[in-house]
Amino acid sequence: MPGTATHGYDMVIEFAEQAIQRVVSGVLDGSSLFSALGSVLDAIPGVNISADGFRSSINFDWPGGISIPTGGKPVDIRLDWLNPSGTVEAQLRIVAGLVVDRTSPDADVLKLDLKDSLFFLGLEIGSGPVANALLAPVRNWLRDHLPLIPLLPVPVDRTTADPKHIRQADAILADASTDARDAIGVALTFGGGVPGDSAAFTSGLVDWGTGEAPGAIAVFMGWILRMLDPALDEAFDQPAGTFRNGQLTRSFGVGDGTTLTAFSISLQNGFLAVSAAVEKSGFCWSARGTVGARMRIRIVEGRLQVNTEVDDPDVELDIPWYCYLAAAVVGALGGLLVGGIIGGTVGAVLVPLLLFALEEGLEGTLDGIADNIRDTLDRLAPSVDIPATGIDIVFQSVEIDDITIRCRTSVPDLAPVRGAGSVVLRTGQVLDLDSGRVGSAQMEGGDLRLDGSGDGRSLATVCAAFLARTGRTDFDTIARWSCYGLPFAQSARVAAGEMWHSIHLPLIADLFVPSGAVFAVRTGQGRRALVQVVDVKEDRLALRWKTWETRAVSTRIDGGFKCTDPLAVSQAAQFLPGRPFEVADPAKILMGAASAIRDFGRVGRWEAPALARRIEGDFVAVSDGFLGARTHRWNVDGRPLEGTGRIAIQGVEFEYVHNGGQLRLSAPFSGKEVPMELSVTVSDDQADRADASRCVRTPTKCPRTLRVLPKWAEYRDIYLERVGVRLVREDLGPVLANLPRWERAL
Amino acid sequence: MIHDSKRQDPCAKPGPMGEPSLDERLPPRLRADLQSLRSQENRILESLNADPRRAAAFLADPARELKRAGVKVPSDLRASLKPVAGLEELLKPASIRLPNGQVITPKVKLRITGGV
Repeated sequence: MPGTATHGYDMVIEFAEQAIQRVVSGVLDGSSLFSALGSVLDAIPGVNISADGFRSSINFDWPGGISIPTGGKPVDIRLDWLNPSGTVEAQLRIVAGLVVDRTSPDADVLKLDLKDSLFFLGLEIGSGPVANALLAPVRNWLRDHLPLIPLLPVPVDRTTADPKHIRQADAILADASTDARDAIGVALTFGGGVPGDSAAFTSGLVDWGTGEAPGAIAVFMGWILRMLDPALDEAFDQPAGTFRNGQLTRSFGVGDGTTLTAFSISLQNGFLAVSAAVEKSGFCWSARGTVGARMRIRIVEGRLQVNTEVDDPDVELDIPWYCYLAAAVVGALGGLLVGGIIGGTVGAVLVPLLLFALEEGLEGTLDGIADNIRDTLDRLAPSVDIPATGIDIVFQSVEIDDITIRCRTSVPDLAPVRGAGSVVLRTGQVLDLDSGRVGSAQMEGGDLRLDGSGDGRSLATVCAAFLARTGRTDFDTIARWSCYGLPFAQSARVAAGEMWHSIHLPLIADLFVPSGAVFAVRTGQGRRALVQVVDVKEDRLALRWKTWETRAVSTRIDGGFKCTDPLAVSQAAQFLPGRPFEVADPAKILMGAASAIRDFGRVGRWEAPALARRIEGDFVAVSDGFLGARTHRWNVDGRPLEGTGRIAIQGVEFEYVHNGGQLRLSAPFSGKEVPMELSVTVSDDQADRADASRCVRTPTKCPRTLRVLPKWAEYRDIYLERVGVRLVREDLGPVLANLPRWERAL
Repeated sequence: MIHDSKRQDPCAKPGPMGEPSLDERLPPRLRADLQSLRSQENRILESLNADPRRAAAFLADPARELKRAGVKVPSDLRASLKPVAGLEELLKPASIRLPNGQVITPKVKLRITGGV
């Protein structure tokens, strides 16, 4: 039913099991925690784990036979330890609660709580389940080293009344009757709203289908209207409250003697229904025009765009008989021509008003929401110590019920890379993926060797290396953890047909087209690596390669400065003309700039440069290999930063806050470039230590524009200038001659 | 739905440039003839609004439609009410093309109302 998707919340962000499985895998692998946990398991009497890889699976179904406290939101995690050939040596099952941590002053963090909400812990090995009493070390290790797995930090302002800022995030878990509708996520309440019912989510927003790591965002219509109402009040120069919940509360003049008497936006099945009514009177007539429209939303180049389909308007035309007869007697009927009345009432006022409210008002609001979602998910919560996992969201499609946006999620791979590059390999040569060296067959440490000639060539593993086929071609997005579960084989051989396709042109040339297939290698020294053939010649191959590091203590600083809290400078708003009456055809889309696609069939749009009010730098120490509890010491230009405070750098005063691996530096935007050297020292209670430093600069410009809603009067003038009233009938010449210029067809 | 706008009888309105109202422009005898029709207003409205075509026909040829309605029209007034050539055709509303190419055709409901 329309309007119930968010169960009273302003916005809901949901993820499918695959998306969460990626986050969990990233956390475990990026910090080498799985190998440390494997060592803990290995110390249990009767357990013998020699595995160096793992595979995780996540399940949102309610776990039977396990006691879950009231209100608990259990997530079932299974971790398989795999030997090099992909065989499961042990399976650890963790049932932990999905919670929102509100201990930070400026962030609510959606997380899996393995410390205080560990509902079940079980270990199974080849010989069967391990006795619960023996699992105390595992429980203790999780408490000390992996107390939580953060899924999504949400920046909040707990006292805000601004509908653009988040006040609170709640956890939701939907265990539906089909797995395709299982979901977990956050339900958000923005300023001016009240939280909904988090227990009411019994099914996910969308059917995930077979999409890769999908997510979905639902937006409550009531929240959109909380933002749209004041914008329309201002655009029509009317007092606050003239528009309330998308309804007009009092009529008012909209120019040229016309009165807006009704306006409403409501949610229907699959679309937004909008209606408006105006009244106008003239010599011997009065007219009332009403028109409805259906509005759909689609994604164009990653942005939400409104498509409006207007119904045929209804016009009630009242003519007083006495007046008409009197006018007929004195010969004053010239102005009483229906075509002109329709043009002046419907074409010149009602239709542009409807398009103004939808394509400028509502679409602009949706645009702002989309930007807000991106900004929200972009920001790291500064006072929360979490690994630098994150979920990037790319809009894919949108459904209205409330407004639900399907999206794709991606999780960055944080595993440290030992080396990467490209090499040329000739027949008989071997490649050492631990060092990137190429040498003769006698070279020690080789992992892959090229054998044969022409299309009879093959790539073979050497010595202790294993190889597996990933089945993928997206070299850059393959994470280390996703390689562990592949079926690695020793003494493997990849035939030419898997690496490239040959096109033989008699008497001309032989062409070799790389297939793009990516192969995973477990090197002789136990590291995971990827290789991909990128160029093929008669006598050589060019290979792209990347090798991840095994456990080593290291750290690096990620992040940077960006402009925040943008404010549109309305006085500098610019009208960007659209292309009315032109339909976007595929050829035009291909030829034109992406942004131009949005301009087809439109009057145009208004944009203003955004004035950044602050700059914020979010930095994170991405560490690897630490097994004990970590401490972080941050410095700026050699000066230590303690907790929260202020520091002057090159004459600019910055506020800073850090908690463990996160650091935020912020200052009012001044346009001045401030270079600084950031450094961090990470150490743990196992006497491991790593340092990193990095030079960063504050931005001098924030080239961003924001959509702005113009005044109605300005829009109407431009509409009539660029579009006018295009009467389709051509026999209305005499009628048009009596109309003002702007009422005529242009 | 909101109806708080005040409708003014367009007949009694002075012209946009302050010129005399319609009533003031009528010759006294014809004004008296017109006033005499007020006693038959119910019949006029009932007949003309019974069918949308009647209302349109009234605008095109008021004398003929009043006669069809059984309304007695003084002869001088009847002689002044000439048919309006081509008006019936022009009463048909035109379609309007929107910026996105869509064409909408207003549905017009014509209603003859009482007046001063």
